[in-house]
Amino acid sequence: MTRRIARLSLVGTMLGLASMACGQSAPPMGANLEGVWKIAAPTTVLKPIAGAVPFTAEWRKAYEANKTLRAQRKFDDYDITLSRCSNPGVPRLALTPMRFKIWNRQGVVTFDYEWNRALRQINVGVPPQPDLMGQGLVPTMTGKSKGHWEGDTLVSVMQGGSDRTLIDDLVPHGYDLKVTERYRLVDANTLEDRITVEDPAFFKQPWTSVVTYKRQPDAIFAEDVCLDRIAAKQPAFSK
Amino acid sequence: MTTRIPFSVTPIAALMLAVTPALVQAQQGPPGPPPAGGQMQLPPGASGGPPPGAPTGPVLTDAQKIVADLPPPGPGLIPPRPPLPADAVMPTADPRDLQGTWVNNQPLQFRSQRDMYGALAPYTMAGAKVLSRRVMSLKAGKPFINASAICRPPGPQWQRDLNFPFSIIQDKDHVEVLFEEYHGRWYISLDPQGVPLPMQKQYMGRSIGHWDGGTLVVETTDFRQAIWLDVDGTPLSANGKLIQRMRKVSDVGRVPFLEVVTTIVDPTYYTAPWTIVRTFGWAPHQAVFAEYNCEEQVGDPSVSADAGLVPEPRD
Amino acid sequence: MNALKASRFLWPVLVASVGVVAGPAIAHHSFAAYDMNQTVSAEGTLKEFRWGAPHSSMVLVYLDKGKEKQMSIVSGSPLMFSKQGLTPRDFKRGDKVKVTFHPNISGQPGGAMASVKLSSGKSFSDTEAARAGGN
Repeated sequence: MTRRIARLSLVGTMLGLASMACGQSAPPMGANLEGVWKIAAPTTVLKPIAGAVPFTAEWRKAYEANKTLRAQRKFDDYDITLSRCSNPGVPRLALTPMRFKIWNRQGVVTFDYEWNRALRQINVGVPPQPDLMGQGLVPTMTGKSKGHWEGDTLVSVMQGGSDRTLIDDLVPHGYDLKVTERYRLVDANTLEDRITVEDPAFFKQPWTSVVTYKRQPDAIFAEDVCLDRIAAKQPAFSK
Repeated sequence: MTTRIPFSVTPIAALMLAVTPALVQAQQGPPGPPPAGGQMQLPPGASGGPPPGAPTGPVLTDAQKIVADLPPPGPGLIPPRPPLPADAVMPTADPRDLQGTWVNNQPLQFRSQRDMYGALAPYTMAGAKVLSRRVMSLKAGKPFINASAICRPPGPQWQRDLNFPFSIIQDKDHVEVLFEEYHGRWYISLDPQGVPLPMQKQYMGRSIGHWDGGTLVVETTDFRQAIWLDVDGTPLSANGKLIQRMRKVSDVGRVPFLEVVTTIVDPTYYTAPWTIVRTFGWAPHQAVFAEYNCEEQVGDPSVSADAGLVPEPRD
Repeated sequence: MNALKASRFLWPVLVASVGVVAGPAIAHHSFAAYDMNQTVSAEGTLKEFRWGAPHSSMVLVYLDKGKEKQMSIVSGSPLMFSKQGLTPRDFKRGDKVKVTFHPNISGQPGGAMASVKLSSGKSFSDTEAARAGGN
């Protein structure tokens, strides 16, 4: 009995903390994205809602070159996620075949991936920090994502990505990549991520894709170590 | 509430190990005239120290002597931490809510040679040999491979013993700790029936926790492989166990800190359980982690998988 | 030997060793990993540049007696390069580059960068000015 009371007070405290942390970064009630999620229709390709990916002429060549490298199985030449387990980055993490958890705590929305324990965070309320070592200039796979709430929708804008990732399993991009995501609950058990990709050098105009996830039962993920798979000559993505 | 003050091991170890027993002074002959200047006058036959032949200080086992003779560990550093802004989020008052972002608030200990009470770690000969071999491999410039060096999870002790932040998240029946370094995870089940832990052995072991008052007690066992407890290689065998007691410690008027008291249980390498302590400061401004992507380097198929390091001999 | 220069490159190694830097925890080598008295030059193809703070590393593909090999050369964060007008996108994979570096004491090819020249003509060098400016 004491344990249940402690748990209830803990939940109350957590909710209190979440709304206290920063007014605009707390979602309104009913827009709680927290939970365990899994992609509804597994795919390795990020398809535009309408039409094809609007490549510029120059970068269509880079895309075709990736296709050739894939056919030749020279994965490390274009896809270091497959060859080395490198972080897939944003938006490719949205296509993860395994489960992930969303946490919304302490001003950060954290995506906690089962695949290789990958991590991606959206800053919704942590103030910018002094950057003595130049961390802000380092291009990373997941870049930097700044988020805010618009009604029941979490809007995230990612920039500062490295050119070492792909949009999905083939589509290249450059340093000017900007990814805008709109996360919202379609219903209590369905999460939608509306992804808009922009990179003026690579794409003639921004293009949008939608990925849907289904809620999963609560669970503790098994420790997934992708490097052990490739060391055993197995694929980086086991499912 | 007791406030433990963690101490830096290295200078104390150096002092203790430098002590020689040659402090015995026998006073012979009749006492002379009273000395000038207020010096202490000892009665005849009294010495300024223990009787001749009595051991001074702790008696080292052969295993402990091997470790005591090793070159000392490097000095642990701690980067400067900015003070918290006045409007920073604070920890909750609930003692069973450890949630938030924390980071080491004491210099790192590269080799935990003493327990939290100052006693030397109780190595078995096997433990002393493994540690000695690891330390000497570092000194020889041919360091052994360890999990951290090849981008594998290093176990909960090493994972916490860094100058990088971690965030604790509590759900109904489990606790998740997310680490910036190695994009690490430490999952603790509070209800193994309701929220089962995975069956297969994991680098981070298998952790089951329960609340003891305001302390979260976590037992971690079933390691997939032996782990290094610190960067110099204090050993824990795959059959070893870590008991971590975690609590918020408040010092009225100041921001609470997180204390993790870890008991190391491993008959292979230690003759008895021994306990070390670490403390972590509240760091809400570090809740957004820097990305850690060691796979990009370690997974490069054109370089050898052991990152150019030397495989550790197996006993 | 210029003590400032030594400390500039020892710091990233020292810092890496104590787990202060967010980069691969490469086994905490001994601190004096580079021979600061020597500067070696090499030419080759930039295979990749791994950016980080406080230090980065590049992988150079070069010819050693006709055989293609790789070496890793460590350098500072993008902040250091930006002071001389260079950004990550200036370093293109596949580019022909010329590098000078202080070799690894271990004898393994590679070391700590002293200068780099890109095929675009842009270059970076660990000059007195860069050192005085700090990182």
